[in-house]
Amino acid sequence: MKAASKHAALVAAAAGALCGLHGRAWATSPSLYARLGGEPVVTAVVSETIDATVADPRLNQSYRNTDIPRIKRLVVEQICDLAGGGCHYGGDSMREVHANHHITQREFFGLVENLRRALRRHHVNLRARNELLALLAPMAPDVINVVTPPPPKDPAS
Amino acid sequence: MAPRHSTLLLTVATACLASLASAADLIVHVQSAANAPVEDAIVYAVPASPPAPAAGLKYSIDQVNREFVPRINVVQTGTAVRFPNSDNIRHSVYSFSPAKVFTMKLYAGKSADAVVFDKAGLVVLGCNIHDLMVSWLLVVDTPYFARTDHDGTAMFSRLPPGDYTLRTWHEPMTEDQQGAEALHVDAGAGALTHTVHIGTP
Repeated sequence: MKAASKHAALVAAAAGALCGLHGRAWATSPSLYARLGGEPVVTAVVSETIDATVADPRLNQSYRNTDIPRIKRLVVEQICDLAGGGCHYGGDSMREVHANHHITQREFFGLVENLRRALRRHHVNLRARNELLALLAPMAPDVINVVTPPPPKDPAS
Repeated sequence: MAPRHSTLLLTVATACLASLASAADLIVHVQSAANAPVEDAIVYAVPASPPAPAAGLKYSIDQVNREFVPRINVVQTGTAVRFPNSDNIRHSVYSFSPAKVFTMKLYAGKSADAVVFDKAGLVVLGCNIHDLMVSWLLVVDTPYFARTDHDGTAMFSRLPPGDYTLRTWHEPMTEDQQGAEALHVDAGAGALTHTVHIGTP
């Protein structure tokens, strides 16, 4: 990812020099995913965030008996998709994933705080951290206290 | 796990009752090698000419507290099995067993279609999301099946006279490790008792 963003910057500089235009009109800005550090950083950040959340009894009720490596894989895929890393997130919607898990505000923001810590630990710069959090913030209503009533009982059963 | 072969200790006690009924009541005692009763064994009697599955058979395996309930199940081939998802959080039921390969998402708040188990065999069910969830479903070519209770006893009422293969399964046997023995039910046999020994962990 880093090589790609350097290459893009070189192309932008060359184009700007040749055409006398400022870089912004010609530059391919590196994606947020690249600026986060790409796959190795995002994978490590997600893994540490979820590990910290699962280890915290105040935050971990929804993870009981759950396949954690699978969750990590899907969260990385989702961030890669949202942050322009070129992935396609193949999991279910946030609403479907969290329906009736009774996720509280405290659990949601507890995870966000673990994410912040992990990003800082991996030296992700402030701008990229904030952009990522801004991408995830709109998910809150689809994660916190999503209630779906049970289906009507089949009268034939 | 080392294969466990069922050793056959047949105790047949026939009570010749002056019964007008030609069908027999069969009691099977399933015991460990140490003669202890074995709970949750599945015992089933496959007739020499297996009957066609009755249409419209239904069964349910629920999802409660991130577990399958019941954990041990037996149905006749052709049964449609529902997964009601009383948990009401999302699950993703799957099986890789040759008798039925499938994946089905159970969404919160939505009913799912029943799955028809159209091939006899042992089906191990899991959940993609909650990896500790497991359930065993034995699909058998006979309507004559029972699960042993805590006394290790399985009861068959009114088994029609004829030749059967009596089979016994207990977790975690593979299909090949199941016990098998010939069983003959005479017309007017009344009450029959069998004891089957299986090696259990």
